[in-house]
Amino acid sequence: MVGITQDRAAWLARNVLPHEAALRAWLRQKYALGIEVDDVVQETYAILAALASVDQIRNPRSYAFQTAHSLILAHLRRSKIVSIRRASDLELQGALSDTPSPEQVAQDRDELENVARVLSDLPAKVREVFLLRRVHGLSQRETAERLGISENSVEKRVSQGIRALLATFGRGGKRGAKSLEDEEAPRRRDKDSE
Amino acid sequence: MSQSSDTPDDLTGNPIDASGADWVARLDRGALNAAEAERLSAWLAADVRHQGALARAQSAFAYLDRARALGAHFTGEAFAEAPMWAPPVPTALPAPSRRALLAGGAAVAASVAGAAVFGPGLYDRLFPKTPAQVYLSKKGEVKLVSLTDESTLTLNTHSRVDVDYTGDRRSVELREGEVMFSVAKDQERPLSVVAGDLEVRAVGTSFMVRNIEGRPPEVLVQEGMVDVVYRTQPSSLVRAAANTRVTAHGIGVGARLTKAAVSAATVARETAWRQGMIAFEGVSLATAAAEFSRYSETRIVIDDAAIATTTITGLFEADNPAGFSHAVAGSLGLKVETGPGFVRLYAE
Repeated sequence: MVGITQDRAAWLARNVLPHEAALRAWLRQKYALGIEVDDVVQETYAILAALASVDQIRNPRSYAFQTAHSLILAHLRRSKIVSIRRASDLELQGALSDTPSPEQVAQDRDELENVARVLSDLPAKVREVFLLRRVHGLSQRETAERLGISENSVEKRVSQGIRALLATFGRGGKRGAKSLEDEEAPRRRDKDSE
Repeated sequence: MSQSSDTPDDLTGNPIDASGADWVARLDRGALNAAEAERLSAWLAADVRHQGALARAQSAFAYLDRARALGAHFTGEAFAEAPMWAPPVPTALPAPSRRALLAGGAAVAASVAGAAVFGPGLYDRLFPKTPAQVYLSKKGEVKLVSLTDESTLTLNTHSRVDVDYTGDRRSVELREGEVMFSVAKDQERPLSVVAGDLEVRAVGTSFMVRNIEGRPPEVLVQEGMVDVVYRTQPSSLVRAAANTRVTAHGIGVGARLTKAAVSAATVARETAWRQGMIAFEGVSLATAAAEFSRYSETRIVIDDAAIATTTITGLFEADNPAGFSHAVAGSLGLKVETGPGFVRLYAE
């Protein structure tokens, strides 16, 4: 089995993705420990994706933080330069408040509105693909037919859209026009052209 | 949460995250060929961070699972001036219903796991004279059924349909509940849906049929054109286009059908249950409570008539009456009491 189930992806989307910005902010404070924030976030997702079941997780936010915390501890154990003071920098307390912030509550409440906003914020070419694929439920092939573009272009725009979403979540769900505007321009890593 | 954009981790530039997004886009397109599958497996095996990046990109894509609830009229433009919905409720949907209703979008899982080996299609081929196939949904469940002709039925909570495709027409009987039909075009074999005394005939279109005890049977056309007829009165036939509601009034000889135009937004709202959601626009709390009782054993109790007649607007998770009650209490300044099998809304 490659990848994760739709159920697990949905669980992560609801319960972890919205806390990712806070997790990154906390990890960034530990930057002095020699942690690559992206690495820890990716490994955290890998662990959460590989769990046999998430039914018992009552507080996914805490669980994600604790997972990241244990990853950093493992990292510190492996590196030989850890001093006692440095290890004590790694306080998990404070990062874990079980009561979500008022912003978080507001954000959760407006979840569908957030979905709408996230879609609205996508660059035009990406947005038209996502509207057909995700709002109207067409397949990529049908989307390509409807727009009169190649399936390769649709696939590429889906990838661009996902990157834009990831950037938005990493930033805390705020409108992030800055990093999205330039999606229209060819990206340096893209090999195939439209 | 107050990060500046010059933070040490470049959120868009991480090459592993970019590859994860590429793979999810590829998986969403359709099944991988052997070479691609091998490449993905090798990539995942190479580094645990790759597995995490794939999971993360998949969850970002899954975040948009709810986008269908926005409805076909959503364009994504001028959104700031026109907020769509009042408070949705933040809690998880149970796995089964989501899995069922997301089956269409589950290309990621399905393309990798391989096609289902046994379905109604094979069954029909093995047993061509089979009587009607019965599909049921439990309370609180939304179930997607794919038929052999690529038509799909989405059963709302507590519904039952009998499907008989053996004759020269495609026959479906809605015994109880509410079902959205998306009919594959076939001029030779029209599809007919019987719901009580109503019959709906379609060639290729999408529409919803309701047959709920205590309410008049109803047809809501989303796309295309259907004919609706009172089975006992062939002259009652009406032809209904998209965004039309046909309602049956009365029974027996005096029965008649009425036809009314509705907005696309209304159609979207009334079919929001397909995403596990209930949408209300200006309905009383009493009506909303009754609607929730179709989906959940937990009753919403409102003793105070003044509260019961208060109207609300919003999009809510169908299987979460408690979450709904808390959201309503929060915005109307009410209190919530939770007990075994009920949630009570009251004023202080």
